[in-house]
Amino acid sequence: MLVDPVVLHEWHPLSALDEVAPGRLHRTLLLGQAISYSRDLDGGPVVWVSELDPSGLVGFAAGAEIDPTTVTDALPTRVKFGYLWTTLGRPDHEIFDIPECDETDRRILNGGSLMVSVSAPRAVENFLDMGHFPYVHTGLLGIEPRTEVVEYTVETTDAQVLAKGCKFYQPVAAASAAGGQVTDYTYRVPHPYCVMLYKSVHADPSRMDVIALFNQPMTEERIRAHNFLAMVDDVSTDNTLRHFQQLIFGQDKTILESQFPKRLPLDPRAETPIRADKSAIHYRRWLSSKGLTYGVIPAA
Amino acid sequence: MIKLYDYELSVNCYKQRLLMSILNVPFESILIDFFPGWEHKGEAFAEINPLGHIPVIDDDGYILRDAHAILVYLSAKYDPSGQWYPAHDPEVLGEVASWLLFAEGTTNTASAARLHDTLGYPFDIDAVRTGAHRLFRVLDEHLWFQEQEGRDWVARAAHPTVADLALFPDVMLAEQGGISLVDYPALRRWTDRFKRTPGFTVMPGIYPAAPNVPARSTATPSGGEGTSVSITRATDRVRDTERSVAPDPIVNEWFPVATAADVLPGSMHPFRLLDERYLMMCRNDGGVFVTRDSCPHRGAQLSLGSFDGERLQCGYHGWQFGAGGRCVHQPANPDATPPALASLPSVRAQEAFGLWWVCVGGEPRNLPFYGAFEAHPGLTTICAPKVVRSSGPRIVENFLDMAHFPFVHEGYLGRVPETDVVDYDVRVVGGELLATNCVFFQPQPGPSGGEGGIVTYTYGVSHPYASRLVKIPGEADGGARDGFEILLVVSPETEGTNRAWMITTAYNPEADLAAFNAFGALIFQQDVSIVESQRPVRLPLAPASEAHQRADQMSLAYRRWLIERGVRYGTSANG
Amino acid sequence: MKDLTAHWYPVARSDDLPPRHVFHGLLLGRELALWRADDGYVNVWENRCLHRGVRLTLGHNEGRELRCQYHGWRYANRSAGCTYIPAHPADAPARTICNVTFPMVERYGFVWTGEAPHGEPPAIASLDTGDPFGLRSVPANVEPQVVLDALASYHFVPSSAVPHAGHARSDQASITVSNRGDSWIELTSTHLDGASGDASSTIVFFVQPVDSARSVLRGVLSRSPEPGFALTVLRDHATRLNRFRDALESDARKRPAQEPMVARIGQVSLELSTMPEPSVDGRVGGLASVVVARKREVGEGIASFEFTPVEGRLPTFQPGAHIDVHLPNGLIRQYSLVNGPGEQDRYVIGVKLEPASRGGSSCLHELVREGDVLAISEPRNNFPLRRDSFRTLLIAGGIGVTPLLSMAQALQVSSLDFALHYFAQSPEHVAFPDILEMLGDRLTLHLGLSPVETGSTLRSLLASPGEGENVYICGPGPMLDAARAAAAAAGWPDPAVHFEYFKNTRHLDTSTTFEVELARSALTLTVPEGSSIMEVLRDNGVVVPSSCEQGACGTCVVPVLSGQPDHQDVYLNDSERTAGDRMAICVSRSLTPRLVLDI
Repeated sequence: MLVDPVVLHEWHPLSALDEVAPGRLHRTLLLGQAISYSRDLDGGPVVWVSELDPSGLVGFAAGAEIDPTTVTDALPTRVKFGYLWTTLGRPDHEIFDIPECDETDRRILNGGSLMVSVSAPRAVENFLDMGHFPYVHTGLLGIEPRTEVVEYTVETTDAQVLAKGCKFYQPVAAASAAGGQVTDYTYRVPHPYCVMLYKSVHADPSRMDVIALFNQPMTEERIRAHNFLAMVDDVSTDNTLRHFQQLIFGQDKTILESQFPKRLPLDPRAETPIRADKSAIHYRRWLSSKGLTYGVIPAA
Repeated sequence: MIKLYDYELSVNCYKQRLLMSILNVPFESILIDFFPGWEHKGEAFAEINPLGHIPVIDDDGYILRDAHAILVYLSAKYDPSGQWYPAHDPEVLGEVASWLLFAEGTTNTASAARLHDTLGYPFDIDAVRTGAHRLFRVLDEHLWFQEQEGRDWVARAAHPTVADLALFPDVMLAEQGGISLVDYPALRRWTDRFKRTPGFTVMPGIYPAAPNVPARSTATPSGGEGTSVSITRATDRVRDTERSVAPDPIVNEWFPVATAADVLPGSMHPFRLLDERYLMMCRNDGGVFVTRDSCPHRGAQLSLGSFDGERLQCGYHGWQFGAGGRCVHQPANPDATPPALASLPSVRAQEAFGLWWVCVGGEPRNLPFYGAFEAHPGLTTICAPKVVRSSGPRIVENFLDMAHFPFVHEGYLGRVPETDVVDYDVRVVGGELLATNCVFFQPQPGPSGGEGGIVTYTYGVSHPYASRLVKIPGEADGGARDGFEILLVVSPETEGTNRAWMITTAYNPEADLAAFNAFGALIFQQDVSIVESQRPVRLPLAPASEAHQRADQMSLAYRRWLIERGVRYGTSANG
Repeated sequence: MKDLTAHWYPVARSDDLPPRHVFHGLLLGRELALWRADDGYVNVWENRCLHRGVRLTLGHNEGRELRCQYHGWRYANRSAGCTYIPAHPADAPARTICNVTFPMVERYGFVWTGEAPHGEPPAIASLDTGDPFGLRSVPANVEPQVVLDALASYHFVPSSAVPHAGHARSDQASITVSNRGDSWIELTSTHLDGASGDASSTIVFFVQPVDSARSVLRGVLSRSPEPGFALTVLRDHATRLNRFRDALESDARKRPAQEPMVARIGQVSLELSTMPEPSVDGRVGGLASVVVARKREVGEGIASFEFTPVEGRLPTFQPGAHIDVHLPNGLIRQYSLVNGPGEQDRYVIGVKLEPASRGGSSCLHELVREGDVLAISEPRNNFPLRRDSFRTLLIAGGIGVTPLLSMAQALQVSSLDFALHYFAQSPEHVAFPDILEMLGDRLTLHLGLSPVETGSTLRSLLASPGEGENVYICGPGPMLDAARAAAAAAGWPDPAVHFEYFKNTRHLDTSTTFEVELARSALTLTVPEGSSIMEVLRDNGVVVPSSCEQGACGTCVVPVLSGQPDHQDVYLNDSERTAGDRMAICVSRSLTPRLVLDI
């Protein structure tokens, strides 16, 4: 599969930086290409194309010791949001911003990186979706019979898709929540494979928690999903937040892996949208307008 | 309280949560930062488990590791019913242990593949997937044969055990390791059954099962009072032979479905028997034909169609069937000769004791013995059938019991303190199980009022769902001619819903038959609420499954008689 | 290469489909979801919810409907049409949202289907005349054609010669291929030890092509074994078939791997592929011919009619929906469906004989008989049932119970909390007692109440609106008016009060004259005294969907851009009337000299 220029010349996440052991070899896949990465003794990341089979060792320190200074053909790298990013192309832009991350009282947390047999756009679309809460996250993010998705607005620019005014009734919206409430959401897609949500904080209605999903496209139909949290929560432990996030993601995983086709069909006639899917419809059109083809089935 | 060192996405931790949820054991979950923190590999956790694995439990200082070992401990300690870890039954326990070891295999293959595919564990993915498929083939075949033998679980028990529990999550989440379950239909059915275990709970990636068929089905608006339980056994001709893989001998028994007086020329009588719908028709010439109430074309209910005494017409596509069930006309192809395949299968029927009886199996057995009908012509009366939501054998066993008279039929068939059941004789005569010299004090033994006194009964069982009672003529209700006989016979619509027919034959030519009917109905009504409350609904045949008293001699003989006759329907062979 | 898509194949054993289970099948690389509904019907669908492609085998077989696990969409038994989308509880889903279905036949103990099969599944004489007895089906990772060819050498002994405990028998038997077809083979085994009596058995093997290199061997003996030997025979064949499969798989692994088949994904209709506007009714489509399969009295002066399709399937309906019935005397009348969810094999309506019948109910009662063919419209739903209430109150008066019966059954099947209060003249006037019986203690009958007593009962029923509760009312006009007044007085919010009049009993004032501007059609028309907006539009070639044309059904409601409507319908609720931005153009008029409509 040829990687389209949009995805090729884009920054992609590889790992939370705190999981990369200095002087140790790590392996992964990016856009079908085997990649190795490590950190030098000063903590600086090094990423390079390798011929090593990454099967079964994704993200793991492989045991082998390596001197990263000997790597000659290192790929460009960035460190942002606590993650290591790289590219196989030549991006003409930097990684998107999440301004809230600069707030000093935010809890910035690596929520865990899990692999899923699905395309990155399917994972993004599921993240944008509220209608499944009562069925897939029963008793946590939604509960029958409170199933209604009320109207919300979506704005699309070249840089992002933004869904505002989203509301949903949630019995346990977050690790720190007690009791049900209508939760306000804003969703933002600033990168073809990355998506984040802003969610009202029960304790302080003026602020919003940020939860993001950075999808690393290992292949067209396989991702490593990096869960990122920037919370206004000074009660829950890191451990509690991680468990809650992984619990939610684990519930989605079975659904995502059962979707057919695994690549996201951009032909409007492949699936049946409803009004609740407005953000997904805009996302699909946005991908189409960019000419993206990796991880999708382009419209004929 | 029990502490469980726990991680949401761990299959083996889930097994413990699941068992404790089912057993209703409170516990505290100590969340381990398994991923990406690897807390279980850290020094602090090494003091709890030097192997660096979870789950581990701490039950008031007793610390135990290894998922399947913990399951054994928890079930042996906290399950008073002894079902989940059946230590009392060596054969079942042996199988449970064997399948627990098998579950180590599924954990090391199917669950390992999931860890590889989700978290990147360094396993040989092809090897673990191949290994999982090898085990699943064995398990699917085992479960398929268990189904053929009427069993739902991996071990030969009537209930799930820790072996089912240990295997269930490995199977359910196998797809997350790239192991498709499409080749294992029996395995998928078993997971559905397991999800319906009371107390079942989920983990991420496992969803609850659909609600099971409700005990009182709402699927058939036109079925009248008898609608109930499962209505979903196929109405297909071929399917029944499929069922005969492990044929239940109950199909070879005769059951009454209508009174002879009601079966008039030109009439249709839809009925349910043994989970199927049937239709009885009486032709204009008086001939009676019984068939499945299901059109061979598209399975529509034939009784929704019309019958003019000659031809039966299906209400769906107008197919018409003639005298012998042969399809004679298909309106959509009016000129074609309908094929033989389109015929209605014929079901055996006969008239006896004023009732029409039906046998759906191929090897009919005997009608119940009831000589009184011919011995006293014209003196038999039939009570309208009564729907009883219990199993047939429970209903019959109650009919054979005297010890309940003073409590359930107070003032009629017994009273406190005359509660003594003296020993009686039980033997088999000519294929009929007989209890003779059954003596009991009754304040009002029959409809005619009169004085109470000691009555003598004989009970006979010659049909698994029937019993006759002979009240030996005596002085108690006013004269030697006031003996009578009652035949109780129960037609099972489903295992848990029966129509109880009661026919009474008086010895006295002047007897008031209507009064006998009313008296019988009254007594039976008193029995119904008790019988419907019995649990399990199916009669447990194993002697150790219930407690007994000396007066239960006939009940126990009846249970043994059912075992010898091979009756499974309406009974549980538990143990 | 032969066209595999034109053939029938067995894809499951009939007993693979127990109640409330969804079977996961695979044929020619396409995943299938098979489920048996509580009425026995076997549905064979593509294993893909048309919404987001999620496997339906993850979902719930609820007996009458299949519920997708992802967003809880419900699909009806038989028609596979979507009946409910929980994200939009107030909408009636377009009935055209329909999963991909495949034809199905049950034969020889198997469920047969195909991509686009011609004719019927194979008819095999030995099975038609015999007593077919299915063996365990065995999957094999081997090319279907290779399996079929190899089966000619499958060795077995007649059922009567199968060794069993304490009775070892010779394994020698002669096997002949007695018949074969494109995807099946029939073998007959004769035992060489002539001592045993009926010493021959016939097996037919069907080979299900799962994928390019995957198959399922589905064997069936033409006769059942002797009583008591069934399990022995099954185990004997299971052992032989496993060995047979292992040998074939061992060979297959030496051949180069084959590309898996790729199932073609169909497209949804153009109409469904765009994001729909909010909709409170279904679709108005063409007419269907139905047969009056059954007519029976279900209450004093109340007849029920069961309609079955002359051909094909009936369209999917939702609780609260009604159909237009075209009567032999030329009249068109609307009747609510009383069917429960998933009852897609027939439509049932209840018709009360009205003493002052304008020819609708008397025609049905007196002229229409079983066997007659009538035309009906597709179901339309102006009275959709929200299923996101914590509790639903259903209030019926007289024959107005019909749509509420459909709702009650849907709520009961979904285990949602509800109560049905049914006001009727007398026990004899209670319609559909058989359905009511199933509702158990959810039903309260109010019999023979005077108008005053009815009013006070309604006030007490509606006294305290609960959080997240909805009330549905259907009955005669005065009772509806009383119920609506009681609800308003008790503080029920308008959106929680749903009602359906079966006719508009208000006096219609047609004395005004005004202008109507049609914004989209760029037409300005004058509506004279005595004519309705609808009639004037129709005379000028503008067709707006309509049904009852007496202001009861809401089919003709259109948006109003300016001007003040004179509402004479009974469809809109008070806040909708006050808003004045929609009107029913069959009866409503204008209070201003000019109305601008968005049509």
